[in-house]
Amino acid sequence: MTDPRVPLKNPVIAALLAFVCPGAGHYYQGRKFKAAVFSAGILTLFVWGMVLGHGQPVYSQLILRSSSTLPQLSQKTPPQKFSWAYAAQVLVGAPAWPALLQDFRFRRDADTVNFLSAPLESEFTGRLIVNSVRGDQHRHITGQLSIVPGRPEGGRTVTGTLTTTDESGDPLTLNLGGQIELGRRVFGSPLREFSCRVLSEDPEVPAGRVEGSVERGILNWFQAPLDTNELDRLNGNLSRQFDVACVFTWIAGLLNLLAIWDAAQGPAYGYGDEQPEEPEKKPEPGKQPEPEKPAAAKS
Amino acid sequence: MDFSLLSQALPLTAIICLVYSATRYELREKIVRSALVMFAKTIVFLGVLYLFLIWFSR
Repeated sequence: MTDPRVPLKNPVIAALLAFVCPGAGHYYQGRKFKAAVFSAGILTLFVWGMVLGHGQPVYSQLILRSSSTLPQLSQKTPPQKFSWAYAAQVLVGAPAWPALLQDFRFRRDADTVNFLSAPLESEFTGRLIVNSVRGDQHRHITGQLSIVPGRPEGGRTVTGTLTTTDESGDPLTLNLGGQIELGRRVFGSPLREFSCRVLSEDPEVPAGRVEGSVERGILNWFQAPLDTNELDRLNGNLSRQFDVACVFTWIAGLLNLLAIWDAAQGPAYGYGDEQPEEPEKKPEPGKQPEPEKPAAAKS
Repeated sequence: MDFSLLSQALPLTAIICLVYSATRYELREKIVRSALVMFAKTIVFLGVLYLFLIWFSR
């Protein structure tokens, strides 16, 4: 039974508030020290995990993918499975809810594959593949990409330029055109796959392709579903740090489950000022326990 | 010894102990005392386990 000194107010409302934001339920009950402990402790752990994992440890769906061909997930409904880690992370409350919204957006967004709806200006990182009689030549390049769709309403064909540098460090502008390969708009990676043909108007620049990635806006990748290839990339780049980040977010969610319980039912062991019960005295070996004396009859 | 991991493990343990103790008791002093005892016990246990594993891996 809950100690009557614990002000639970309405336990259902308190539990719901504790679920929405760690510490909010206790603040509603007036238990401000506990509210501070829960919000600071649990949110610190969750945010710390997100920072260690470069913002990517929380996702509700994992897309199963075996090939690494462009573009990212052109299937409308790629095979995917629920991430059981999210079952723990979602207990943190509102900070983990964007994953559900991003899952909804991901499912609705299949038509954005290979489709450019508006002019795109972004950093590009990837490789230039130049066709020559001696075979294809590959070179790593970075630069500023600027493309516009061929039609005002958007489309799969584009025109534009990629400003980069050549092998000697001099500025080089590649004219791009034709059909593009472009990853989904909503996907759990800050890198959006991109590929386009290099036009050969200038005889100095042989025809070829550019393949690589452009930036994806944070609202389109934060807590969005990701695939096994992206997980491989994260594990390759961050190594053990990504595992630690995931564990931090799981523990934060599980700790908030205890906090929600505390908001609804009060502390598990009591108020904290109870005196420990004295252990029963055991009779010494060889001695018969003294029989209880009958109460003296009142005269 | 991997100090980067230690710098993550110690605050993590401290937060777990404090939040866990806060769900067990209501009195502030009792919560803090219980968290300190739990933290010390956990660190000693993990330290002994760590030394034990190092000794076995030699």
